[in-house]
Amino acid sequence: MGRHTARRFVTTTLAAAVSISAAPALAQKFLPDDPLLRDHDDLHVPRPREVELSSGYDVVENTFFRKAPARGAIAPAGNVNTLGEVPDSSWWTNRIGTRSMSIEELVQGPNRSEGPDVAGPWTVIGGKVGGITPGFSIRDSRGDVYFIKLDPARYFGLSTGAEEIGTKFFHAFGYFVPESWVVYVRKEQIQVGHEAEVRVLGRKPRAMVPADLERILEDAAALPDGRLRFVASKAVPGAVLGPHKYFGTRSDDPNDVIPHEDRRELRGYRVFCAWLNHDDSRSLNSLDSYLAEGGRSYVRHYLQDFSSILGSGSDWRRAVAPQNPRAGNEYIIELGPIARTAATLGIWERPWHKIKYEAYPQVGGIEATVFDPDAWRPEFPNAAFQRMLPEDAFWAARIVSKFTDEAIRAIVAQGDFRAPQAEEHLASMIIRRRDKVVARYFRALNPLADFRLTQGAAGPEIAFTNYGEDAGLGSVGAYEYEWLRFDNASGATESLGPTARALGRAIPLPAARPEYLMVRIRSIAAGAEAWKKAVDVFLRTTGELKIVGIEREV
Amino acid sequence: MRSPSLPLMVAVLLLPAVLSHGSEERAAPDAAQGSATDAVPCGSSEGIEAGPRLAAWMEQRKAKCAHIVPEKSNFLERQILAFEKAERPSIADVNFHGVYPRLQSIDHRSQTALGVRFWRPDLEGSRFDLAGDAFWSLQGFRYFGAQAGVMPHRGKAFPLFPFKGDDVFELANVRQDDNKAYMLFGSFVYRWAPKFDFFGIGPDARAEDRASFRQRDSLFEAVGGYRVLPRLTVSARLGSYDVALGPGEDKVLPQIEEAFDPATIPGLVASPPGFWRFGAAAVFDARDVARNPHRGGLLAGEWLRYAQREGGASTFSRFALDGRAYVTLGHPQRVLALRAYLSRDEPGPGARVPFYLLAYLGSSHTLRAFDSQRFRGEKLALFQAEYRWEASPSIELALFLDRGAVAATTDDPLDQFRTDGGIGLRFKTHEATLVRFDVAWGSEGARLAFRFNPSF
Repeated sequence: MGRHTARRFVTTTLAAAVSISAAPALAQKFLPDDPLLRDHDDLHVPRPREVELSSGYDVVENTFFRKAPARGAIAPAGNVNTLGEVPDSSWWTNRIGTRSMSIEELVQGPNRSEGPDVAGPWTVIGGKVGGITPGFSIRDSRGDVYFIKLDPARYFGLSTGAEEIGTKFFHAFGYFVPESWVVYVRKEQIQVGHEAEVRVLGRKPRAMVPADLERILEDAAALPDGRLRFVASKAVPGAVLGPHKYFGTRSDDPNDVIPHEDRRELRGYRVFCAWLNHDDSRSLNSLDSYLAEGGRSYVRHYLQDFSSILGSGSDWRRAVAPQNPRAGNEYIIELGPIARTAATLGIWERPWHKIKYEAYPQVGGIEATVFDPDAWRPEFPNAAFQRMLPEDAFWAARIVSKFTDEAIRAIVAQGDFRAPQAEEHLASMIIRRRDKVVARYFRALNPLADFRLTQGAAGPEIAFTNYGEDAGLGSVGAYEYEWLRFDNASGATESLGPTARALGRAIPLPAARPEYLMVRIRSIAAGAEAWKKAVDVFLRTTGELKIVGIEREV
Repeated sequence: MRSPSLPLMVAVLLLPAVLSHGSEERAAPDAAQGSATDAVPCGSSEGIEAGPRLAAWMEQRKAKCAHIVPEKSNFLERQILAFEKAERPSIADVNFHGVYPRLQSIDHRSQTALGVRFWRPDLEGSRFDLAGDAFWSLQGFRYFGAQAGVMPHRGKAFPLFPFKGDDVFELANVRQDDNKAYMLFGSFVYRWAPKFDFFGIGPDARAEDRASFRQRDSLFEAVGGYRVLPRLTVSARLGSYDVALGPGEDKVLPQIEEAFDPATIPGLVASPPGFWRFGAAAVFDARDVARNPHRGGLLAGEWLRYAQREGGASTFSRFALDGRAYVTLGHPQRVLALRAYLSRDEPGPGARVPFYLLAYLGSSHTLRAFDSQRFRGEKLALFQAEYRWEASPSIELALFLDRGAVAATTDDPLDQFRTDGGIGLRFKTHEATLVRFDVAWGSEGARLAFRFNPSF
């Protein structure tokens, strides 16, 4: 690999992440089934134990007990294929990142059923008083179970709209999320079931009485015709196992072999969360489910509870309210700013103190001027987020870039705010934040991707997309490339000719056809030094000509 | 008696559900899938076609099947989770039919006291409340109290109880966030303080003259109050106050009779008289958050009369004003807090205020670098200023200055001011100060105050 040894190239193969014994074939860089498009982590496993996580301990553990590794000590993501992509798995399904999604598909999101019957009665089977979003669970006239949340009257749509919008976005990214609908129902349709229990924060569950429901609904947002507004999330299939952590693996799930902090979709989750200000992206807002499919039972990993994203948050009473300016800008406990403020007698102020938000009660506190994707913070440190490397961020940013203005507006409309100006404001904030995310991470390395084989006028070519140029971040004068012979067994390379230049986004294949070809490409663009970093693309020529690997200099 | 207890602090510091944003578990509650696959061996990949890459991965998963260990939380997490889920009560909530064990300071020089608080709010769904206290301190102090009636409170929080004279601002305040706009209750309080200090009367009282005495007093009274406006509360009280004096139990200090000529100390008699105690107060409270203010102010005025039941040599009226202002300096993380407290006693003709009822300076709320009850007098002025800055919403630091003076009699001028200053560290919630460490320096040295309440 010559000078590749001096610079870090991302060799992100599944085999590199996990030591696999007794597999001589893995001595080769590329195997016949590369690139792997599906990671079958759905082998049958016995049912793992249901776990409960403490939210307080989650903060303490991640803030004080888990130290972020030094930048240079972070290993590349362990679950990507030889193309640097995340295969489908029990954590992730490739959607907008790898294929075109129509507006209809985006707004449909995870919903595969009709949603709750809003014409018939709802029977409450459980309730929660307190917390950011008081709510309850119901069984509708069809017998389906839904979890219901609501907004306070003065913030119509704030948390329920965030939940609905978040569900659509995170589904489109590729995560498993519950089905979700914004619905309107009359209070008289809702009755407390005989076996309903209510949880009052900090107290033991007890039998739910109508007064509990009254208390939950007393300040609920409603339409002028009296119908109450809810967001209804359908119970996910399978049996609840509790949340997953953002580090380590479950000791009782044999399919879970890659440390969570090394999963690219969890590292890249940081980019998505920053974009949509999902500062509450903690373990407690995830959910593992044990379900049976194809004669096997396995664990599927969901994300849930998006009611505290975008501009939706909570006040000090933990009631739904516009997002606190700290959210997304500083951890709950962050020693640096605390010490700095203490030492300067309070004269130094956090920069986010000066943030001004537009006053739309439906939208809450979200802005795009101060927002910096790198500086963005969740509520407290997240081990996967702390290990996000440039290639992880680039992967996620490419997905973010797939959302057009039209798509974003269509998803935001699902919030059903019934306030056009507020809706447009929110959409414009998301669009501006998208542009910042894209600009930040497309400038960090050579932003070429989506390599594909095409037939040019002079023969076969390898074509690609320049995400940076398409985002308007620079203009490439030429692509410098060099073809090499690649030895799959030893990893050695041998040049097949001098370095050449292509003016367009296609590079002709050489006449030589060794078993494996490699082409090293650099983008030459004024003012974009990082774009000169190499991207190596590997092709297998035996059998069907196929792109089998991509490595990036970072 | 207004301090939150130590157990409460411990519970708070354990980071209970306060930090929780809650979560919803969205799997179907009756889902029990997997039973159909119970007979399938772990790691079964039936139906999956695997090339070498995938096969290697699957091998590792199959290998893990032989080493399954049930997922388990560690001890600390389980304990915190138990608090969050209220599977067991928090330490602060441990009680037996409304009797809560407590560990706290109960008076000047009492040091730590062990006891119980009894609290049964809204009995049987009514507006009627019952409260009581019984404490014994390491220094031999005792405190017993009982209240019954309508007492404003918020949720399960204990009500505030009036007793000490420097609490004028709390006496009549039905707080904005209390559950009732009025109060009407009967109260009995008994206090046994075997080690009170006396330094003399007036500004010239010397530290080296410190003497000890014992004070036992009891107060029966009825209290009524009403929140006439959202920020304005008025109240009235009527009661009976009795006191007994005796030798102090501090072995290293002289007795008060030894250090001072009893003839020069009003009220220093073998059988102090009893008093009718009655008065009225008004409080205008415009603080944004009563126990963690960042802006606004408070103005309280009180008239309190001690009428000697037999004779009148000790009958007097007290007029007190307590004004506080909180000014945000550009941002709520910086607050300038100011306080002026004025008290003036008006004895009847030829009467003097008994020394044990004199207003005083010297405490963690007044002159912080001086001994408790260091300066007593019929007239008193206190001015305090604090520059408070929050390193985070829960951590506050403060630079403070206290300046105050007393006059032995109402006719004497207030011209000998004492000054101290210092620095404070406080841990707070949005609603209240949890812990306060104040270190103050003054002409008589330095003192550390460790309290569970705000300075003012």
